[in-house]
Amino acid sequence: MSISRRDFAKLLGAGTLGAALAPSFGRRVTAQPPMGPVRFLAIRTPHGVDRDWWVPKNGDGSDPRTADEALSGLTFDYDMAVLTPLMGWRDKITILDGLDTQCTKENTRAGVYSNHGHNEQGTMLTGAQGPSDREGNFGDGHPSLDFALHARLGAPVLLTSAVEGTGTWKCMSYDDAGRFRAPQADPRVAFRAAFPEGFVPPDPTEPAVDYANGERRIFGYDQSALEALEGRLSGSEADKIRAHIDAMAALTPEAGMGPGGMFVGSCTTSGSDVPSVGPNVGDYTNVSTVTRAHADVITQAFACGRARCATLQILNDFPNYYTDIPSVRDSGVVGVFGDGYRFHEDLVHSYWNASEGPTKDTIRRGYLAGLRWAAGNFALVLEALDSVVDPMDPNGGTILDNTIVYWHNEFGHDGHDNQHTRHPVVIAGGGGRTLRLGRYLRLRDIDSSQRVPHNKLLVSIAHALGQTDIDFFGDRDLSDRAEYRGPLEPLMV
Amino acid sequence: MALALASGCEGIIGDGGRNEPGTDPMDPRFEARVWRLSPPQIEAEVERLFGPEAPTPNVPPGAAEYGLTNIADTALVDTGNAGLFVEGIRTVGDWAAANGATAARCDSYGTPDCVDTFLGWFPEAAFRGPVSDAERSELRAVFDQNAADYDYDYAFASVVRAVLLSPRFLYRWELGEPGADDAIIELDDYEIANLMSFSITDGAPDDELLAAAAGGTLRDADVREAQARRLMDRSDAVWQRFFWEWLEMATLQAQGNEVGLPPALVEQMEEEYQAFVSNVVVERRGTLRELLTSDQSWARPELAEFYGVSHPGDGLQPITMDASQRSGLLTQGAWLVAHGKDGRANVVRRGMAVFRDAMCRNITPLDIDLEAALDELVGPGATVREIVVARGEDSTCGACHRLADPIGLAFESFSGDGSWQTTYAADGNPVETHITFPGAGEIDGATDLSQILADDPAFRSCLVQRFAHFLMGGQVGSPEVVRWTGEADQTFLESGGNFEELLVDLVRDPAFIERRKP
Repeated sequence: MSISRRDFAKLLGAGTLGAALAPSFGRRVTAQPPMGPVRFLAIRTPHGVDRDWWVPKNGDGSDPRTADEALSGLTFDYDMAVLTPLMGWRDKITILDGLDTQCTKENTRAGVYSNHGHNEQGTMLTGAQGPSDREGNFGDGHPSLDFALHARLGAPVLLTSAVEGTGTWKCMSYDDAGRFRAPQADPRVAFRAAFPEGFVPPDPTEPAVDYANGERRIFGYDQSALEALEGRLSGSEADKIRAHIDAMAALTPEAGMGPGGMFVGSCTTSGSDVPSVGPNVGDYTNVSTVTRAHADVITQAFACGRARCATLQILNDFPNYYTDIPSVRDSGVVGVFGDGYRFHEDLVHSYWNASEGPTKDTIRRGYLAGLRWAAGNFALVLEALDSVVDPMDPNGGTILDNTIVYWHNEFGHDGHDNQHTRHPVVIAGGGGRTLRLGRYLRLRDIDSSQRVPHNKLLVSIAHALGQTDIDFFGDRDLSDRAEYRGPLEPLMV
Repeated sequence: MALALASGCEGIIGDGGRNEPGTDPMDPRFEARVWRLSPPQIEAEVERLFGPEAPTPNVPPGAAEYGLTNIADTALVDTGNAGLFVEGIRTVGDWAAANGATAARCDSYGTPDCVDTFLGWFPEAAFRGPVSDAERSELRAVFDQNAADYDYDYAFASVVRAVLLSPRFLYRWELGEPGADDAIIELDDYEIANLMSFSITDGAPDDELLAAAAGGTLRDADVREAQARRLMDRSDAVWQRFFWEWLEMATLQAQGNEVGLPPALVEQMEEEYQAFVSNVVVERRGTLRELLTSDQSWARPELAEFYGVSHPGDGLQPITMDASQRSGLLTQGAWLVAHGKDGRANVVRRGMAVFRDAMCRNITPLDIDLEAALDELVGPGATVREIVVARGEDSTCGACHRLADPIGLAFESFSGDGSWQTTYAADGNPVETHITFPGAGEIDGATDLSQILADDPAFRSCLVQRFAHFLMGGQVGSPEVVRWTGEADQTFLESGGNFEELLVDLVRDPAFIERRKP
């Protein structure tokens, strides 16, 4: 079934359509953009990775010889490689070596969490220290990068997804007040958030109608009511309504900002295209299916202008889910720890405490198998993003080509000691914009005490999405520290 | 093991610490505020206005406090979710235009008369209070201009969307009369009607409550009491949600998966839990003791078989538990599975679920490798009781575990999947459930413990504190330090733990309808 572009615009909202294409709100789209609009997807996996297992190697097994090398000359196809599933993606990813979630170490003020541990999930997109009790409220009073970019870029929906349910501090996304926003575990629900039941793709042969003025009248009525209400409130209650007013203003179309000049004709998703993921969402044996379903929802939402920012958690640190992953079971760890072994405690921690010998080798194989399996799930996301031609890219690029994907793992260093140094980071997609792809980038002397805060990567991503006025993103107490400011220069085109 | 604990177990959550602003023992009144409707409330409102065929706006909840999901401070429309409200309500507007005559309640959809008819009832119904001529004119202008520029359907949908995106629809207001300068303000009657109705029934005021509001009588505590007792008949969803959220039951499905239960059986466990709460609290106007100790429950045949008890036939039916094994909410499959775990962590999870969640004890998790610490403490071959004893004696872990673990030990007759066990499957060791409960002496097992908890002051006052928090959408404070909840706790005690009396006491209090100006 298809309907006219006029009806499509009505369903979608002229303003949000325009916003989906404009580099930022307030600019009218008058000509074809050189590429599709850049989107942002953050992905997180748990358990930590030994840096030596995920960097690319030379054919002789040695580390890259220089700090900036083409991935095409390096390989993930070595014995202990985690990223083997990404061999075919080397031209669309960049490996960052030596990035540190350094903000957690700063101990800038009382009440912040300045130790190592399982708090990386809250730090990844905020660049800030969590509160000492780690419960819910991140406490630093600023949003995570996905929220911040969503507010600036405009699009109907901000998608926050997870392969399993999460709560309290197991979140990546924090709102404008620093409160966590739990992700959606069921891809069917995530889909419905992005695509209302009555949503149908446009018929590209129908002329478009500009509904901007009509939408502005609706929004105007409500904005007046909100402002009157704000006038009767004070303090935090007035702030609450002010946030409502500002959020609605960001969604209100500019006058005359209709759907003309857009390339939405190839959006093919209907509101009835709900993903089929079976009954086992949240079941640890169903991770890959659910991961791919979430990735498809995100891809469709990006393609149809329904979202420009999204997050996806591929599992948490607890529970110890890998028990049913065949490659982990086949590694021999069942013989060491029994049938009910736990991935994090038994494999990750025990590996580092074990003496060298056959048992440690077995544990190492199991640990690696789990991490490689996670990399395979990341590759599924890349496949989904690369499977759809971007309807808004006149050059025919895929959604992946116009998306900055930021994959972060829970721990760096050696994984086992919960350290936030040498975090494994992969950047994918979005090449040809402002971030370099197909590179191995060593950001610092790996064995030194030098640190490269990941706040700089958050700034780089903001720049890649056109927000070049952002020079710092993170904990307010670190904003005047030069090493935390500006983008990662080696990553920038 | 997810919960090793630091010292600091003696405090009571809500007695005035971080994240609990504004709790004043002498003046528990909230500041003047607005409270956004929750997703189920918005869904119910759309259905009330347009019928069950109307689409459901897919909007998100706010952040929870202590598991309670409908909190005024966190129920926001902001950057992260405004699009979902706009889009969800757009679907309602489009549906209304596509079902014009039905949605507008007129026979002449497509004509100006139908718009007049629609504006004659819809804004007032959606805003749950009087609408001025000026407000109606503004909406008419939206329609007229959009009809002129586009078409009738779009204009009609515009009015629906403008109303449903209005703060008068999306929020409950607790502001009092406009222009009042007093430091303490009283809510107006319509605000009281909305507060009572949404808090007690999760829905908008009915005609009788609106009539009371129009008559200006709801500031009278006796009138509020009468209305609250009447509304109890429609309070099932609210009590079910309270006991679900207070006891942190959201983990049920995930834990059911983890321990390998069929999803259908997990659903039946949830169904039993909700039916039991509804029957005890609403239908029987029952007490805390009944909730914690009744051997009556409701189950389908599969769940009855899981419990090993007889079932009268098909469908959800009353069943009688084996009273030597199960009595009350904390021995039902749902609670046991939600707080269960594979392996030897049941003691900690269930102990903490009672000690921390249901007794409001303030606990800060340690961030250490807990299994490694446990192995270091007792070695991998220790029995569950040996672990409990060693953990309680440890200088770091013991501060909290010596209080919470015995509670968890009492539930050890139930494995992680909620089934009855007398020995541990992993090692064949016998299950030991006798414990010493402070103030109650030696008891044995979960049924004994449930009897003790029904009389336990900490358990009762925590329930009162959390229910007040739930009812008001914000932290009121502990009965030990705050007058409002303290008096409610006393009423609850004197009534024999009757839930209706607890509700009535909270609603009668002046703090229910008074607000401070900041």
